[in-house]
Amino acid sequence: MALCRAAPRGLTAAQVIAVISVISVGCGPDASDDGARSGRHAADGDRRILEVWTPESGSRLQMVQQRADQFSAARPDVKISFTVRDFGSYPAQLKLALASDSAPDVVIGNLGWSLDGPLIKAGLLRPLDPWAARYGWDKRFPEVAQRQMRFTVDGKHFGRGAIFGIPYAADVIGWFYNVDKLEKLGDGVPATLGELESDFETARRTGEVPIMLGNKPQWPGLHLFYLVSCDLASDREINGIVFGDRSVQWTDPGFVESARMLARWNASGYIADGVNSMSPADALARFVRGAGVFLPAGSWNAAELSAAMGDDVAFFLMPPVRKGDPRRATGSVGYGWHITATSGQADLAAEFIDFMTQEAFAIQLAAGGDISPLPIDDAVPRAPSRLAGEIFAAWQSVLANGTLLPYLDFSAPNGAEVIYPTMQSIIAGQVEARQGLELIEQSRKEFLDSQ
Amino acid sequence: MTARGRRALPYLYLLPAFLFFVPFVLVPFAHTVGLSFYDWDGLTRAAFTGLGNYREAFGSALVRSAFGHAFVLIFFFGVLPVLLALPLAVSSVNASIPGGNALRTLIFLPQAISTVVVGVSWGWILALDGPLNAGLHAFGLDWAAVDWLGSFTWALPSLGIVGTWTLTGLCVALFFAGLQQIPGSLYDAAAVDGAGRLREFLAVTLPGLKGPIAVALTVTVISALRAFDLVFVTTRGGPGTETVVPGLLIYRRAFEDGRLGSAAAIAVILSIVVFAVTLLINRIADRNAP
Repeated sequence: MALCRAAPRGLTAAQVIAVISVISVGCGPDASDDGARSGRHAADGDRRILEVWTPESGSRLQMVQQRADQFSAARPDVKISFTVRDFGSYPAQLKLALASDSAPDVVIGNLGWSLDGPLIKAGLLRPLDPWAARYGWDKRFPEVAQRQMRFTVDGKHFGRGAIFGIPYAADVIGWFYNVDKLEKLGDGVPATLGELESDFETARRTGEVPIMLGNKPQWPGLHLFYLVSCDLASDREINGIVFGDRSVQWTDPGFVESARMLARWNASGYIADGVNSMSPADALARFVRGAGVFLPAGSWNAAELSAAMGDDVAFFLMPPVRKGDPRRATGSVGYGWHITATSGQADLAAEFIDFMTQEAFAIQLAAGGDISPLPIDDAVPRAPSRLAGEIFAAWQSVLANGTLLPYLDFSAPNGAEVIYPTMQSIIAGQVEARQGLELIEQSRKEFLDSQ
Repeated sequence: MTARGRRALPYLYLLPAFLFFVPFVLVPFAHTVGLSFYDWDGLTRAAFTGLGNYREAFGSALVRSAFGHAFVLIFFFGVLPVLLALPLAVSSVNASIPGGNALRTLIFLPQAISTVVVGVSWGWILALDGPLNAGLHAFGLDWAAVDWLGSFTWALPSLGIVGTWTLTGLCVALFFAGLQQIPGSLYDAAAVDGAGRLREFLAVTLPGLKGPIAVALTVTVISALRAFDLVFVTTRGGPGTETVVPGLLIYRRAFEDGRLGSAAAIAVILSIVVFAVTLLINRIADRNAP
């Protein structure tokens, strides 16, 4: 999962075994996959009820619910009933809910193989193409964004085929920096990869921590890799890895070079001491307290950072190798809205989804300091902070230039077992870059073969 | 009561426990075993793969290393606590130091704390700028201060030491109870025979503690093999795969990767290992029984 934010839960192995077994009691190997079951029209008095599932939390959940209230106001005959589950346990719970006899109508998924893929393969989600044509969804979003929601109907290929989800919010990985500290280094905001590296060196020499990173959960290291590979790997390499192109491999030159660069950064002392035992939250807290010049992280940290640091924190996308080249960035169109295969009110569900993903909502998100996959041309609202404004502008440039790249861990569902730990070992210099990437490629190949 | 009734009586006593054991232990375990022969993502139709999941598990370097780590943890969770607890229990059983009971309670205390709390606390103690390293720096041992849980060399032993800290108290409590069962007359006899402290320990105390030692080893070895919560809270299997244990793989494959058959196969292997090791411990203890 790209935005892996699983909360610690105190399960023992024995409990896990028991839970597996309990799940298997409900839907064992003999469970049928008969796809569409008879629909179910829920009603509350005279009002129709649309059952909606989401893993959102915080301000995004608030904005989604506010928007849903506006829908209900426009359609008084419809009641939106939200089921909110925490992000960590959402995939497991959603799978069970959709496989049950009382599946919800509309659900938020998660990109790629972590959630959308298995659900589509099991026939639990509908292709949305008929409604996409009716409402113009296929033209509402840039294709670089739309592609992250495409699957073949058999669920075997990601990034092509039918539209299975409609996005509404987005995220992008970049560099947060301490404005004050960068100014003291004296070279201004880096415009190239070379300038960024020389900032690291200057920072280290002056006793600052160049890169503040907490890699305890192991995925943040891969986010650092995204940043570097945006510069050193080609579009074809990155999209190929994610969308199952077998002519592209993790051991291609762009990735090997990226991995070697990270190992070199670590060996040069650019990455914070204790990186492997520090949580991302700790890293963020340290950065807020003034440790670290740069913080490589996702846009979802912006609200917390600007609340704590005000105008002393700013953001830029990975600077290109050659000065002036358009910046490329790894990001996602968040999680999409989906219609379940068993919903008996798919048209109403589509109407709801359309309302939830219109430009009006994109503007509401922007006003709340968030970003969405929709280019907003006019009526750009005032950002709630300088940081939010910078992220918004950076994100819009990526959409306009078509330089958005997908998260590399969308390529297979076993990031936590293979990709993240191997990348951590590469960065630490425990495994040679190419050797480590071979291991990752091998597991990707096994996954593609199993499809 | 008829003869038949007398024969049935013991089974009737077992019945209540059995009624719970079957639906909550036996049936789920049978399901897990069944599941381990399938390739199943939890949603689509499961495909029978025979021993495929087991072949994959035995062939996987990661799975093998996970079991290797579990055996390293056996040393720290089982062997070390027993070795530490023996002298602690023996030396304190006869000594009437003031506050002795309070001391024993303190040693046992870690056992009463939730593993998650233990993990979070030790994560803080072992942090690069945590109290342990602060202490090392204070003594001028700067070279010894490392990022314990983030080090590819020290992460697993560090987790092990946390286990030692947690389980030593349990062993002390077990041995302390065991020591009070040893008849004083045996010690008198040993004294009459002119046995020294060491001789007395080897000839009387150790054989008398055979039962409690077997119990302590069984409990601690099982907790080493099924270690999951401590790892999940402190290292998540990292850095790299240095602290990956079977429980973590089971959790990830079942709940994150959607490979329930594979997770079930590892769970079955783990259960067999646990069963075999505990059987071995009890066999050895029985054979040497006085």
